[in-house]
Amino acid sequence: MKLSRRKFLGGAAAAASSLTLFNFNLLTNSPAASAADQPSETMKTFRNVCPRNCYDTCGMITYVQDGILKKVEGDPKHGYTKGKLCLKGYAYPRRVYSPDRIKYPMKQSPRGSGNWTRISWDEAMDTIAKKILDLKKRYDSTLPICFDKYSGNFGIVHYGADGTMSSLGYTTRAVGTPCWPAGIDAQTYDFGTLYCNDPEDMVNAKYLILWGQNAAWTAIHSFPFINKAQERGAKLVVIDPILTSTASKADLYIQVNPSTDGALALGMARYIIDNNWVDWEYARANSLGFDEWVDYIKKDITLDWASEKTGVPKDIIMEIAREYATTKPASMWVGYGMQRHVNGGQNVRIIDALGVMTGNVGKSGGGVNYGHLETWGFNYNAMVNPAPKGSKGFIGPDGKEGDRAINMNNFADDVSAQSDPPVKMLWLACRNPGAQDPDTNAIEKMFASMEFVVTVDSFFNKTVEMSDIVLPVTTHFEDWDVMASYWHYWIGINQRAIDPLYESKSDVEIAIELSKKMNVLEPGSCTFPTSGTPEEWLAKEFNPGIHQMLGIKDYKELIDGPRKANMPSASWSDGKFRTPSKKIEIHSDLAEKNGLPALPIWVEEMKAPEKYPIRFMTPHPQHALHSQFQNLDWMMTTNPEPKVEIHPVLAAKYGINEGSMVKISNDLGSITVKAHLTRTTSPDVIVAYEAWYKNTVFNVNYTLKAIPSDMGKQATGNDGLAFHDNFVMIEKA
Amino acid sequence: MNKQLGFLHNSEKCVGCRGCEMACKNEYQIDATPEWRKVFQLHEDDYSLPTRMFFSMACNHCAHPECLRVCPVMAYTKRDDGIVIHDPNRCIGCRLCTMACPYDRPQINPAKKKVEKCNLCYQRIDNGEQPACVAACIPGALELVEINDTLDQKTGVLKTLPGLPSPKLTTPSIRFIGPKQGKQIRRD
Amino acid sequence: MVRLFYFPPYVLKIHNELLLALSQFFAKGGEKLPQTLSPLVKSYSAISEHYKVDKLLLTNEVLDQCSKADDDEFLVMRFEFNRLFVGPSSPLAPPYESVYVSPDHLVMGEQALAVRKIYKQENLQATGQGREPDDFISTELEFAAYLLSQIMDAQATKNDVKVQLYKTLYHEFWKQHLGLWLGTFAHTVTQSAKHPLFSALSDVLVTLTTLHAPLNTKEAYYETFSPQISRGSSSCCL
Repeated sequence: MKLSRRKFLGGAAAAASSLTLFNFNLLTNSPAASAADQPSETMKTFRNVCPRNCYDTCGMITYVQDGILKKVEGDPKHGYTKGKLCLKGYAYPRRVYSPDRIKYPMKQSPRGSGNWTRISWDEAMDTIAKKILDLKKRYDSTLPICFDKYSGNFGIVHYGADGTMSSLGYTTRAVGTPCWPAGIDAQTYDFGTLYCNDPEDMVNAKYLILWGQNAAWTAIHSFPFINKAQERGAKLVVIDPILTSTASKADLYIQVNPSTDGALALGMARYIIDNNWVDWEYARANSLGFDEWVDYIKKDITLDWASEKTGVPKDIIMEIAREYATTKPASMWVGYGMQRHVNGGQNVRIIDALGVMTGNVGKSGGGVNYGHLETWGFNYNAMVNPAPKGSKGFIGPDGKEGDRAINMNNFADDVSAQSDPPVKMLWLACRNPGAQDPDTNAIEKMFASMEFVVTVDSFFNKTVEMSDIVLPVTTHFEDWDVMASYWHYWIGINQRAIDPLYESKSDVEIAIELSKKMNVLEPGSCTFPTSGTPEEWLAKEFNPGIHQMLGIKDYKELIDGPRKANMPSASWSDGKFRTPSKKIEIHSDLAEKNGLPALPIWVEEMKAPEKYPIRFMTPHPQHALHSQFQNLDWMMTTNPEPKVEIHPVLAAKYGINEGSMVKISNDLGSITVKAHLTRTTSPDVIVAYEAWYKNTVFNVNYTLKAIPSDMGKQATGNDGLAFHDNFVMIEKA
Repeated sequence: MNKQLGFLHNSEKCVGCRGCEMACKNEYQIDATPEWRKVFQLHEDDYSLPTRMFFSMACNHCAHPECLRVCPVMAYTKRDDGIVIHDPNRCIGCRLCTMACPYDRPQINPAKKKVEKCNLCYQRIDNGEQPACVAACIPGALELVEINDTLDQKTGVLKTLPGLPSPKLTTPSIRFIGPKQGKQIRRD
Repeated sequence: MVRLFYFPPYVLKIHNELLLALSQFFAKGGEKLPQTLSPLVKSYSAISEHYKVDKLLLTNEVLDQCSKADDDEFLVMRFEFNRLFVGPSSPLAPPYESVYVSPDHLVMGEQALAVRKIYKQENLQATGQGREPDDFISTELEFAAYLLSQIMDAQATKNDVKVQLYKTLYHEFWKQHLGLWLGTFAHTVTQSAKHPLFSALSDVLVTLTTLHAPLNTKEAYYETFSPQISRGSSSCCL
């Protein structure tokens, strides 16, 4: 039996010894009674949802014991992800407890020097608030502050980062999305919005075309559904300039000339028309301008032309045209890689029309599937805050005062180009422009020209390197949130499974702290509410619409399991399109108004300039999600270094062997990467996967210009990026 | 020996996603360096068409395990169900097994200075569960099977894949279904 | 009856103060070096004067010099402190036991839980339990200092049972925790250190690990410390 400390103190006090009570700093009295060996707590489980920018948005079960995250598993109650994660998901514990994690607010002096000082949250908020107020005083508005946020964490409550900005006043906002806007606009012109079939419905397809889509790497959970369709006799066709892991599973793989997918679809359409496999009834009843388009094809499109353009033999175009048109139902999955070209949006429009012409739109087992946002109708309570009274903003073309929008996809140049007032301060959250934006040299220069940069993040990436203050953020295990997916139809709750580590805070908690400080320094300068627990903030996101969609009465029901939205499995099955005319607009006046072709006609692809004859494609990696995950130790072991995939014929031309270092360059910049020779690419296309490896300067974006894709403005505010229209020269390094 | 458990890996279904690798690591929270299960890419030149083909291998729980034979301290035992288990308490880190195994599956953990390898999740199996890798495989490419004549007589079941050491060495308890290649329309 | 061996109170006192000074050095951070260096110098000079070993005296001189630095140099030391121990870049020598002892090299490993249980036995817990790893160097050092103070307490009141209890606890805590990683930690610091303060700090840590021997509960008589200091193990598991 052990004597309690208190009894000892009684005895010691009586002694002559001058020993005082022990002065504790790091330790404190423990409240619990028993002093005996305590057994470990039982294992607790929590529900989480992976909040990354990924089709699958997996349901997770997190195992916690003694307040420590032990392991993760997939949530078996999730009907799409079915209890399994992916290689990145299983590596999450390495992320939570990585010794590399940013722990405390820190400031760099001077910026870029690598000299960091730890500061308290109070000092951080004080510095930031004073800077904001200083800029407000000098420029009479908060427009000199520019906010860039995207998909680092797509949890709904994380829109509190946007809310931070709107509660300060009118600010400069990076608007748009680098990812998928061209295709979104295409589907907006055609159908009114993007709205895919339930991916679980793919099992009903008798013919599947994956067009520029690498599900094996970016949507692995869809494979069982594709496999089921194949077991039931469906033929899988994969069209992609690169022979990906997905393409390796195809019954028929077509290596199309990059950026000519629209031509392929037009060739197919021509053949379908010639053979009268058109579903005239569906097309004429549900669309406008169909006959006009058919006339265009009859006049301007031939199989010979399509074959020459795409590099696909005529008989193959004929084969897939026949199969797609006559097999019912037939489904097409249009990938985001496919629209990252200067004619990407137009190509999606053509493929949409192909779906319409064969009557595959609005059918189970069919559809031209791109994505959807049907299950994202939350309140965005964290995001919406009124600007403080008297805020001065930017007068838009509609005469209304508001935020000043700049193009997220031309970030460096747009920020630098602002005047009246100029941009002086940046706030980055859920975004890493230092690694992900095109033209890294320009990004570096622009950052260097800022007076003040604040970044909210968990790891020391390039953007943090270029910041004045970094604020440590929580992982999703330390946060309350709710997640929807842009692909499947499930919604899941994300519980706080462990306490935030060190001094990390979520984006909403940061907003609350900033608001408190701002209002102390200048009452009324920030409208962000200064109270509410993370769970309370989550609760505020739910509304009757979401409740009804999920068949719940209270968000807490999601703790028992994720729910599927009760939507029909085939989108557009009700024929209620959301275009101005309420019909499918093959002829789109809206597109025409925006300076685009009204019809889904062919628009030329970008050609390689003479000086830079090789196309450098930079698709998504397998081991990472943009700049997340690859830096973790398990990933660095299984995938230690970046490689560039080069066709042996091209490699031979430059004397490059397996493992040689290759310098890839153009007028923008250069990178040096190790070569891997493979015939899964073609002789004029090299491939390297964009990712952030720990402790390297590898970044494909040093060579990437911010070339806009043709669409995106209509639905997302700005045109997208033609990432895959990057042309370079190579040499052995 | 009553039976021999092993893995059946289907390269037709496997997309090389490496979920099995990480699920194994997640289950046991393994250190970064040892890779109990590893996904390997098949050489495109060994097949008629270049595609991305994979197989996944952990320990093969061989019928005649070399690791067990060479271990000087009897750190390896073979159960009645054929699982070859490595006991880290007996292991002295001499690395003889890492050199003897034709598949390089036992690996030295530089921090613990002992060897580690896949133990076929015997604790999970005894509990009626699937091994972590099998449970995590999304396309259903990895299965826990009994290696026997019935299995070997099924069409398409192979005892080895190009590039692997001859199965005659240790009679590994792993079977494969080779990759299927579709039709390709190529630009080269 | 064999009388239980009591340490000279002065020896316990100077060890206690060194442990506390080190604990505060790491806890208060690079920003408070002007405040935390002086107690460290003071406690270390007491140690080096007591044991009268040249190497320790040299280290003490370096520490002393650093404590008298001007503002600019304190800044340099602060930046290096953060570079080595805090961040935001990956700290070169993260000061948590799990990182060195657990094969995972992550924080919040089984070591953090193990020391949490040990603290609990003394009705104590880390103030940041759940947020900060329990095996943070400052917490472990403070706990060791607490154990020493309990021995001092018990000796002062001639409470043999308590003396024996806390001597055993101290020995066990050192053997199973602090002693397992301080050497490797110190070595990592030396390898990455640019400023002499941190090489000196590494020496201090090594001194601790080797000077622990006379405080062993095996009833060894207290002896003047022998001049050979051996460096911590050279295998760095990072």
